[in-house]
Amino acid sequence: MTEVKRPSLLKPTIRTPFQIDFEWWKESERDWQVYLRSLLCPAHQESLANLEDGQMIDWVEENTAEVREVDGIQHALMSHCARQEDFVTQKTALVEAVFRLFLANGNQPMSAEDLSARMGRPANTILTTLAGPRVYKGLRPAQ
Amino acid sequence: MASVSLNLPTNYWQILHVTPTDIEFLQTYLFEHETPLTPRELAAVLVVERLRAEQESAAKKQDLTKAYLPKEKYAVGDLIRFPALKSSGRVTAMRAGLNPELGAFDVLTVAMHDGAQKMFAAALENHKLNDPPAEDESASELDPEAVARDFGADLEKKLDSAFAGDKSLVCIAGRWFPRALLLDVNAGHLNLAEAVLDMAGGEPFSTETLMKDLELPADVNPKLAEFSLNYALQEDPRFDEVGPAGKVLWCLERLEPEGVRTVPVPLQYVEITYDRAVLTDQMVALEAQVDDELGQASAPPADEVTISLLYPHWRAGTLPISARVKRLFPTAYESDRVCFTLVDAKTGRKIPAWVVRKHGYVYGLADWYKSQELMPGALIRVRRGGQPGEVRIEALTHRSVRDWVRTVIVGADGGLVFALLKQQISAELNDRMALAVPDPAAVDAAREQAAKSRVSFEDLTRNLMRELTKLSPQGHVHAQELYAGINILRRVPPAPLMALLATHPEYTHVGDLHYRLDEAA
Repeated sequence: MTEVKRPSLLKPTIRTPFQIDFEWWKESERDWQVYLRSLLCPAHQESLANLEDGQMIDWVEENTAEVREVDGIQHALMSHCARQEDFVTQKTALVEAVFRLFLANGNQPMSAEDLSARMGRPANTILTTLAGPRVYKGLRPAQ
Repeated sequence: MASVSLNLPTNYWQILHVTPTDIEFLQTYLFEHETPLTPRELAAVLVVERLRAEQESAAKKQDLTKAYLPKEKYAVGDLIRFPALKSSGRVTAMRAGLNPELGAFDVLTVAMHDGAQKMFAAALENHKLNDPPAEDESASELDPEAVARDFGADLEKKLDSAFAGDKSLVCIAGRWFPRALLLDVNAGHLNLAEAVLDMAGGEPFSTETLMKDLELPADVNPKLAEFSLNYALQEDPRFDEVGPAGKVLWCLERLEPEGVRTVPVPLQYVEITYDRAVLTDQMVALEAQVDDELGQASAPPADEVTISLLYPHWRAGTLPISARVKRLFPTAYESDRVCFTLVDAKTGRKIPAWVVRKHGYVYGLADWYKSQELMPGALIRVRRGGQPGEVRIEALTHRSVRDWVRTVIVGADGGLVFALLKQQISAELNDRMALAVPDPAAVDAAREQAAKSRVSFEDLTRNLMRELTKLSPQGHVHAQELYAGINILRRVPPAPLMALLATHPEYTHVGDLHYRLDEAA
């Protein structure tokens, strides 16, 4: 039986943790890979230009030289591009900034309160945006 | 030998067992160096040797395996050691790596020795492991100085106990040496040493001083000559080593004060059996507080302690070495008796004294007590002096005043009577232990008579309680007052006395360690 994801009946508060729901991207038929690639820094846009969407690469650990297979674009984005100073600025739109912050922290759940502390915007504004009837960029309460 | 990476278990030095190989190595070391060494010095030698042996063993193992460097190329079947992971494994597969940012490299699949399967990069030019860090010898388990600092005390104990059963080694004043290498110190040398010490009239001499008068062979290691003489003197019952730890001083046993060679009569204790479990917390606290050398209560050592003088110590000219004051007085590795100097904190006068370790007292204060006009119960402050090994002593004296004090009077029948009489008091007193004894010789006779008549501990306690009760309007006596009183006639530590008070139906606890005698019970 197909599992149907149901919205929580509890009303989210500023302490409710949110995260990116990758399933939402699949369900809404948006091109996640294209979107991710658009967020890469110029250097990675160039070096990963020939890498196919979703292709795994061999990532070499910095201290032990141990190899792990990871999604090439996603890994470059989270480990490098999302950590650049201009990845999230004061001018970045609220929903975009929240999305980028989740990318930068490896999609670890964060509440509106946590996001407020990082972005310098009111927690209630963030909560009202994320907890509304419309789902933006797959940002949903963490399951 | 090239330095190799050494990964010792973190508890290597804690669980180290001194093996026959270690003993043999240290014996050889002592033979080669012909210098007696302390367990601390031997432990340091052993640590260096163990590290060398572990390095050698690690180097042999490394010959079979290749150290992992990401830039190297490997083949299936190769054994690789991974210093960064403190592990090793065998290459089971190899393929080309894929990472547009790194260029061409290989990916090895390695079956690790712990059963895990991992992948590693190879033929990779740029990686920080290609410049392996120098071996971290500052790691505490690899640094001989750090090992000595952190685990030295444990190693010393292990070496001492391993050497104790070895007949080929001898230990003098905390130094070990092979018996076979000792110089021949003959009877003539020893007779000469006796004459020198005899002339000194009981003053202890160092081995070095004695050697000046003995004609030992001049062409040998002076330390060996000194050690050999120390050993010969130790084996001869005429001589007694009386120096504090780290210092060897010799004295003629027959010239030591009587109160050092044998326990003074007032301090002699005939053991009383009792059940320690019946003591309350309050009793144990009092036991620690009264500084009795026979007490078992633990107390943290302190740099300054004020002692209430108990009658037997006042009479014998001694001070108790209780748990609290133990660290203040000098100790020794082996000597039972240690000669040292006390300093009067007020006058700077030096008082020759002895620590009698086995029986827990300091001897040599009779004249000082007399000069300070102290009585039993007087408060004496003992503290560490400014110089290493110096102990300062101070009677809390004040201008002499007349005041009411419990006074011990010996009756015509030899029994003790207590009366409140006015006495000259020259020092601060512990009110519960203060006792004036105008005629100590009569008390000695009463003590002797009590010992001869074999009055039981229980009867003696009852008699004392009865006498002391007469001085109390409430009709009760504090355990500490009874402790001070009973010790006039018999040496009794506080614990057996309090155990009797706690268990015998004749004694009723009326609170705060005060007891009433109910002879009808």
